[in-house]
Formats: sequence, C-alpha cells, structure tokens
Amino acid sequence: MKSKLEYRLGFCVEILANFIMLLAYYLGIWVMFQNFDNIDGWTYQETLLLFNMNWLCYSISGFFLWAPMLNIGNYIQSGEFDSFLIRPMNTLIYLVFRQFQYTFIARLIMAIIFFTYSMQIISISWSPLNICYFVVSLMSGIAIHAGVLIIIGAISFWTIQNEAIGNFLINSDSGLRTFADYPITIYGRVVQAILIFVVPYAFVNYFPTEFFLEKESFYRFGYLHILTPVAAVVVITIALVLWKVGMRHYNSTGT
Amino acid sequence: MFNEGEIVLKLYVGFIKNSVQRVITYRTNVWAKTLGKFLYLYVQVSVWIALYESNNISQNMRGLQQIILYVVINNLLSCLVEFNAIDLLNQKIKTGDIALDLMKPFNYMLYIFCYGLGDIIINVCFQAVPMLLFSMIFWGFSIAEYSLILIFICSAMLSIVISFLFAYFIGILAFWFLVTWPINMATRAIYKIMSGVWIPIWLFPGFLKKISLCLPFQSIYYAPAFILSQPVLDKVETIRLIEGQFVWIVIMGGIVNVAWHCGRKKLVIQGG
Repeated sequence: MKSKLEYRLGFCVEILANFIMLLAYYLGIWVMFQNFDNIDGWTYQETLLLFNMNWLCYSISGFFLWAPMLNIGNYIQSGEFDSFLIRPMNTLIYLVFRQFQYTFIARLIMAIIFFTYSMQIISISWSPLNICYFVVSLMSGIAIHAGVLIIIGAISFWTIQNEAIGNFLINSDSGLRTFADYPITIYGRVVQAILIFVVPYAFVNYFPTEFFLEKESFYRFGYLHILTPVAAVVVITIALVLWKVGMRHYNSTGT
Repeated sequence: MFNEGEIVLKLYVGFIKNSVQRVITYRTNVWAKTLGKFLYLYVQVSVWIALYESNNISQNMRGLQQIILYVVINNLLSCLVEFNAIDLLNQKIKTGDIALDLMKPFNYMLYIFCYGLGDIIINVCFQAVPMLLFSMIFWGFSIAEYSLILIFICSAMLSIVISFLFAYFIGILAFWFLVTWPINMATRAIYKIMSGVWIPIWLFPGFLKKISLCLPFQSIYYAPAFILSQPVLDKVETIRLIEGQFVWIVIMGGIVNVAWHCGRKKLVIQGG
C-alpha cells in the first residue's frame, strides 16, 4: 500500500519537475522576446514551436531508447548484456521493451502538453498536403533522434562508456541538440552544414517548421525540406548498421 | 615538529590533490565537457548577435559588445563556480556511507569543498583558459577599466562561497528525499533563469527582477558578470550587488547550518 502511494507521489514530483523545467525555458524565451521583436525573422510563437518540436521528438524517442542506449556500457561491465544475447529476440528490440523507462513518461506528457500549447498559439494554414507532411516530419524527427540514440548505444560496443559522446550529442544544456532550439540561420555556414549533413538535427524541427510557417528564408535552402524523411531513413540505416557491426565486434572479442 | 595547523592543511590539500587526480583519469569526459561548453557559448553568442541584428535597438538598451562580454564572462564563471558535490552528497547519504565519514576527524563541509575543487581546478585550466583565448580572438574581450578586474575577483570569490553553500544544501536534502534527481532538475532550471546566466537580469521585467532578488542565484552569476562587463563603473549598482552577495552568504550559511543539524539528528535517530 505504502509503496503504491510513494510511487504515485514520486510520479507527481517528476511531472512537477518537468513542468517547472519547461516553464523556466518558456520564461526565458518570453523575457527575450519582451526585449526583442524577432530572431532572424522568427517571432516568439515560432521560436517556441521550434523548441517544442525538438523537445517532443527527443522525448518520444528517449521514452523508448534513452535508458537502454545510455546504459549499455553498464550492462556490458556487469555481464548482464550477455544474458540479453541468449534471448531468442532481437537484442535491440528486447532492450527497448525490457526497460520501459517509466520516468520518461512524465517528460513525455509535459512535452506533449507544451507542444500542443505552442501549436495553438501559432497560425498555420492546414491543407491535406500540410497535414500529411506534418505527420511525416514528426515521425522523421523521432526517427532521427532514435537513430542518434542507437548510434550512441552502439559506440559502447567499442568504448564501453558512452556518456561523453552521449552528452555531446544530446545533452539539454550543452549538447549539439540545443543548436536546433533556434533557427539555424543564426549560425555560421560550417555549423549549418554540420546540422544538415553530419548530425541532421536541422531536419527534426527547422526545415518542417520553416515550410509550415512559409518563411522567407525558406528559399535560402531550396526545397531541402522534402529530404526530411530521406534524412531520417539515412540516420536509421546508419544506426542499425553500426549496431550490427558493433554487436559482431562485441561477440568476436570474447566475453 | 609539525604543528596542528600544518597537519590539517596537508590533509585538505591532500583531498584537493586526490580530487584533481580523480577528474584527470576521466580524460574523455573532460574533453567532452569542454567541447560542450564551447558549443553552448557559441549558441548563446549567435543568439544575441542575431537578436541585435534583426531588430532596431533603442538608445537606452545596452550594446551588443556588453552582452557578448557578459555571456563570455558567465561561461568562464561556470568553470569556477559549479559544484558537483550534489551527486556525491546524495550518494553518500543514500548509501549510508556518510555515517562512517562523519566519524572521521575532519570538517565534512571542507572535505566536500576540497572534493569540488578538483573539478574546478581542471575546469579553469582546460575550459576557462581556452574559452577566454577563443573569445578574445573571435569576439574581443575588452574590459572598461582595470579596477573592474579587482572588484570582479572579489565578487567571484563571494560567488564561489554562495554557490558551494547552495550546492551543499541541495545535496543534504537527500536526508529527507529518497529520489532527488527531480529536485535537482527543477532547481537547475530555476537557477538557469534566475541567475542571469542565460538572459541578463537587466532585460527582466520588473516583477521578475523582484523575484530574482529573493533567490541567491543572481548573486552567483549576475553580480560578478555585470561588474566586469559594464562599460562604465556604476558605483551604486556595483555596491548593491556586492552587498547582496554578503547578505546571501549569511542567509545560505544559516540555512545550511540548520539543515545540516536536522539532517545529522535524523541520521542518529535512524541508528546510522
């Protein structure tokens, strides 16, 4: 009985913590736009949508993959990983379903709530084509983040500990992912190229929203937004290949 | 013969040395964190440059150079002022190790402080120095007067104390809360806004400025960063900020003392 109450209390605390975190971020952006009208042509609501789309895709993919991928190093060191290999199920799928990170649920719920809010305060003309593209780009965004997480996990097969590279790529304060919180036009060409061709975070939120909001800068990049699902497929493919290679490497080096 | 003071000093210096060695062994982490800090600095400066270039700036707004300077100083400060003691304290309290540690003949707070100094020393050498050079080359780093540097150093010392006391307080909350990461997460978010490390507090609307005064965070980042980045020495504001720092040292000191006392009592009652 007591543990159920503790569980629910703990869950409420997590919801509250995630809420405070997102609220604090909103507050900062709000203060920013109290003093400035726009950032490179993007208004307050548009910038919020950019951030929320990034956060939503990250939260959804993280719900399935964050805990298993970031912990592979620990599983390998403790020897647990070998017990996973014996299972008749695909190891990756097993890892996902074995550890459903319930603590990410709070983050996911808050992400959805805030994303819905940011969608409400923006004006997009919805045509059947737009709705279609919206669904595709959302799924692509989730796929790109999922691919990045799988790659981070696969790296463990060589380096055991992947915390450093994980933080570099996805950390909410200092990682590459936070570049996508703002329109990528504010960065230099080299950084833009990295965000488009190396770690395609630009396809998660920037190109889709640029298209929906019919921004002028749209024409700067041509019709790159069409490549969003392509980018997703590329990232997932690389991720799964790296995973396979990593597993083979792990098996061959002996346990 | 050694006097007691020398022995005590050697003890704490030993703690610091151990801590530095501990951090150095995780070399990849150090490089990754350094890179992360560079990335964060780059994003921030890019954002402010874009904001200034996209909008008409009224005369009574502070210039782009001052904001860039402010942002760079804050990033340098973050190398000096961040204590990861929270995780260590949480761990020690949860595992019960702390009961054993408290039986040892040294001041526990000083021990945690020395532990944190390891990270800080490495951060200053490997993050702050390169970031300073980088900023000087790419964005310039011009301080208005040399006297500001002296005042800044004093302010930064005060910041380290306040930051440590706050981190210590959050750390010992583990006496009462089994799961502390949500608290840490929420606190970090509030800290990020209210310290001015992201958005300078001079841009805050009135009510938000008042709220930030009720929290110690602006005395950690905003105070020294503002002092060093101001184009002209604003005596009134500078004195106000330094006074605020002293006030917060006293307040946080009191809070930590009370919380520590209560925590230790709880430990004894639990039969730790």
